[in-house]
Amino acid sequence: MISIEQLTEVFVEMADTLVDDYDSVDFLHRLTEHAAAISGAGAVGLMLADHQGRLQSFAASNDTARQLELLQLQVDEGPCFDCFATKAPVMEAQLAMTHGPWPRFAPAAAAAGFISVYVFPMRLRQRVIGALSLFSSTEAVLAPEDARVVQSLADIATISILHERNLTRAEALTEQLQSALNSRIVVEQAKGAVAQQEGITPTEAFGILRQRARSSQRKLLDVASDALAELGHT
Amino acid sequence: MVDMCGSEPLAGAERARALTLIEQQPMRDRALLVDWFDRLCRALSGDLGVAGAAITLTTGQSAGESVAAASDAGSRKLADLAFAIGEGPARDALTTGRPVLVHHLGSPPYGAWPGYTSAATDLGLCAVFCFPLQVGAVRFGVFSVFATQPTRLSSQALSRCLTMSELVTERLLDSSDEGRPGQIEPDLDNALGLHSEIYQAQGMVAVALRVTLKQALARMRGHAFHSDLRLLEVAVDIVEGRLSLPDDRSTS
Repeated sequence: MISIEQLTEVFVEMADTLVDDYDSVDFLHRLTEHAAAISGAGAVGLMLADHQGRLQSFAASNDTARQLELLQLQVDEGPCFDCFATKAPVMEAQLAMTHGPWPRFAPAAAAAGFISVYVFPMRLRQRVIGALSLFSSTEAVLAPEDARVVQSLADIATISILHERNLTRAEALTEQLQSALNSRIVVEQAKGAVAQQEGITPTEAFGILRQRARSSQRKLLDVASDALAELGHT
Repeated sequence: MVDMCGSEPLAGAERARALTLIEQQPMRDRALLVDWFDRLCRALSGDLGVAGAAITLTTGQSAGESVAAASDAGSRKLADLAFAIGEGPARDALTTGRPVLVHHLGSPPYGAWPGYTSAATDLGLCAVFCFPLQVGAVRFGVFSVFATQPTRLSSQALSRCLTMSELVTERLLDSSDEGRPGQIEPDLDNALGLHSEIYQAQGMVAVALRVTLKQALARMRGHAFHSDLRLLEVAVDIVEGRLSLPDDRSTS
């Protein structure tokens, strides 16, 4: 059961960010971390779909979450695909193995220690632009009121993609999504560059970039672009 | 074609369709990349029923731009104009890295480019859609689509423009890769789209070899080709520290 206190803190922080200047890469990473903290899920990931409907792993609360998302992309099946196709939440308190809907994904997830999965669609009118996934190592039953909270986090994720753009323009979604997907690539390139420079892992480099962005109150994307520009490698 | 995914489009179907449309355009010179780009511009214009399209590329470090290809002379002129004036949607797409879609030039809230708007409307332009050609921080240029009437692109039309932009970007990546000129890796778009290791490795190689991100990716692809490995395998080896590409330059 999600505590009201925790929830209040998360929503206040996210609302504060949304009215300010921010970028989607950092915001959605934080959102996955918050979703993991309030739901108790061991791993939370967020996928976005591009213009051809190809899902891409966009943000994750930890490496495990990212790997569980990549696994689905590799075996071309899994709860994220189903959520995206049906535009409805997928709720599997206990993953069925070989005879279930995902004969390749489920055993691999179980081998990684995960047996329950909940996926919530990022809805925008008639469309679904992505999905927020919660993976747990225990047979976790998400109470209906908690499911509503997580769905609203997925909705906040959608809003954050559209932020300052005029929602009445049909083209706004394309502009925002393309821009967000490319921003993520810039951040990955900067993670690699900083990792090489400092002799650390890309995950550690990501921590440094986020820290830099926070302490200077700048966008993660700008900090990442600067890191690449300073090295003279763009 | 059988759609296996119900209501969702088959991944790659748009791409195959685009390639077919380009192949159907008459060819002038098989060896020239710009000829293929011209055909791509004509294919998209015909497909969407718009006035034209053009590809503008940045020329190296100097931040200069030149029009590399166009569907017709009028589109070439419009693309030239955008950079001659130094403002406009194409310039904004290039500097911000996001598509700039203007369905009715000169109508609010698009009063941002007075010089460009006046010159472009004099040439009959009414709507313009600009898509950056990019891979993360690497910007190759802009793909511009022109219309002579107020035009709203459907999400399908936008997807077709983006697919063409991706094909141009892939060809540009290939052309910067000395190891395997003129070939398109069939799964390149998937490989690029899905795996953060590729971009992380790109950043690492750029720093290690003191080259640009563009050159770093070309080196990685060259290595993959010569070692008969997939690009992703090479990237994962680099990120996990099992592989470092040799610095084969004698001077820096």
